[in-house]
Amino acid sequence: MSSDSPALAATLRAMYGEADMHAVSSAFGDLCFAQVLALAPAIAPLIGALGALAGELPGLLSPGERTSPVLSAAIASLIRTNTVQRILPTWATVAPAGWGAAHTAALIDAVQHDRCSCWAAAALIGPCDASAPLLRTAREIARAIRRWGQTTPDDPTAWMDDLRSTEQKRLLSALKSEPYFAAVCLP
Amino acid sequence: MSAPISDVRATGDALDAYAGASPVARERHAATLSTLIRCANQYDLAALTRLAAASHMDTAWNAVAHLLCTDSRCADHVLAATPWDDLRENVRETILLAANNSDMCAAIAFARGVRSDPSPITEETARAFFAAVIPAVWDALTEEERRTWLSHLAGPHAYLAVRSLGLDPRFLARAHLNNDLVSTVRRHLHDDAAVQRTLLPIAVRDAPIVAVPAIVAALPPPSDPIPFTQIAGHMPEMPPALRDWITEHPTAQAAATVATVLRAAMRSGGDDAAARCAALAEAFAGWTTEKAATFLATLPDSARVALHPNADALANALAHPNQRNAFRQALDALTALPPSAALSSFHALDALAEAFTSFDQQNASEGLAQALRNHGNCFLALVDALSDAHQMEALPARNDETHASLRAIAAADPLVAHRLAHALRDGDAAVALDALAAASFDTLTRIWNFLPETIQHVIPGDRDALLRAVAAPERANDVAQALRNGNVDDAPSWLALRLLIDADEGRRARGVMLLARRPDLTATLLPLLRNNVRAALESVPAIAVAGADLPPPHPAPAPAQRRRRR
Repeated sequence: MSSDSPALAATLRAMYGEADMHAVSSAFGDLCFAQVLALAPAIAPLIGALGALAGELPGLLSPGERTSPVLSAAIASLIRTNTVQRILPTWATVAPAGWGAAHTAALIDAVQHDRCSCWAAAALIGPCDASAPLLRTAREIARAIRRWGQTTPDDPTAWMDDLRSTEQKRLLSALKSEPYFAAVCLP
Repeated sequence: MSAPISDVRATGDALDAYAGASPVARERHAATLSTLIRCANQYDLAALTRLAAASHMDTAWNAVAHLLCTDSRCADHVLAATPWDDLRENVRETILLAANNSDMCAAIAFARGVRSDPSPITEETARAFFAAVIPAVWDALTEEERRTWLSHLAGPHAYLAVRSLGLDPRFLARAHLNNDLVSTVRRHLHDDAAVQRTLLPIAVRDAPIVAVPAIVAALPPPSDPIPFTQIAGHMPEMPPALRDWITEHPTAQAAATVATVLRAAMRSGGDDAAARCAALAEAFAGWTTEKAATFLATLPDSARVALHPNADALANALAHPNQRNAFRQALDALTALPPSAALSSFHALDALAEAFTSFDQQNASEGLAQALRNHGNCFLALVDALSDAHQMEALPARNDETHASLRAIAAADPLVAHRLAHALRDGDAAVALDALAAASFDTLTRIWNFLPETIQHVIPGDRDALLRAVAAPERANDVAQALRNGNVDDAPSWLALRLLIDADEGRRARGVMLLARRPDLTATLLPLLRNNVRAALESVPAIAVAGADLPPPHPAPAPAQRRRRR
């Protein structure tokens, strides 16, 4: 990396007060710069929150920030851009349940264009006939199911009721073939 | 114990899944959970302990104690998973009872103050020690004993020391920045701003070193600059003289320099020599020689030597046997340069002297060329006095004619000459592209013409493929035609297009700037280019202005109307 890197320039721009997330989007593509944005003072709150997600530090987000309509809308507007690549996997672990249902088409498009992993898209969309076909490998299935279960903590197998029986059987069959991944998504 | 690894991991992960589940879910799956607890072995102790702490299940705690009775070597996993105070009494007793037979348990007993002699200190026992230690025990250790324990504390485990002993910069300086650390810091601080302030220097420490001067200088002056620079500089100890200097210079710029210098001099990160030199040059920009000398005097010896190595040692390691006087004179000339160039050059020479592999020597040489980019004659004087082997890394040449040409280029820009020399020596098109990307716009054609045809051919690659990569769908032929119409079907244009699609964002920016030199041509191309390429170009005001008068992009003609390109 050189000192005239666009990611560094974007980071500095945010540190000097730029609040337009599109103007500083390069910084979200780099783990280290995203972490700086998450932690530096005088960063616009939305940029800081996106930095925490891209920097894999969701623990910095307060419960209020996780459910903030501003953050939700910002991420939704980024789904069709490359900026979202580092943001969605972390967002998938903390987003409000069913957040992605309203953005199903955009998330599937992001999967098809390598901007979002299959499990993250499925986790965000929630259990349904649109999300289940995205899941192929036992690893993807386990991660998505685990997240689906976490969103209904007292009834962690409720997701099964939301899938067609053929899809449900396919997912469970794939998991049974790999005990490790089956264990990850218990109970 | 005899179970296959995959099953061992599966049990642990299943236990972890239940540790994170709700009480209702655990109740519903009580039978499965009991089976898992029965199947757990000592490799699952961390997950089993997390489950026990989360669920308060007697069976889980008893299983932890039972496994520790059987084999206490994994007691550190128990303490890493849950602080001592949160363990059940029977688990604590089991660990302390095993202290005579287990180094791990002995370390824990020592850390809790119930045993006076420590266990042998290893990375594993240090993990157990820091996970369990109480402040009174830590404070009672001598400074040397603390250093010994700290020297065995690995980065991934440093959050345990923070958990037990607080926000000591010695722990934070080596801690990994992740959610575990965020949670641990939150145990000590309840104000979000304070949490961020505590973690920020760790993020700076992890940033590429060339970014550190600019990032720290962009921050408000740190409220507590000594721990900030210690953590950002990845420094185990801060000498008193350096502490005093920092206190006397409470600015963000001073903090930026200290953090950069400590990190570069201690070579603590994964930064290569060229990156360290570039960062040092930026950190010392604008400094006077006197100010730099005062600052250097405050550094620990190891750091000072890395920025100002002993001249005799450098001569012994690097000078050609017949050129020792010339080498010393070249070093004297370096000393007279501004600190920005001088200290980064000396650091490059120190790195070159310590480099064992050809790769490291080449990298250190690049650092030297970068540091002396505006002092070509100093660079040439040094290179001329280097040993043959080092000369062949600094400015290799196959023959006198090439050597003379490279020297002429080096006099104006040592970095371009260094990269070009390596590209020619190795026939390496990627390095040639590095040289071209670094060259000034005025010398680009000259550098291009210096390259052999083989490399010239490889750099843009398949021109049709390149056109397809930059052009909007179905507009590649139109881009080619626009280049021909503008009489700019030349090397710089193709090079600019190639840079525009490079994986490296810096090079893409360079491609944009190259095309910005020809705003009229670029404005013509704009409607024909892919959206991302077009957006990058339009971010340059000169291009945006030139393109503003043009009509919006037209849809491509229907395929049937298009003529096949010959």
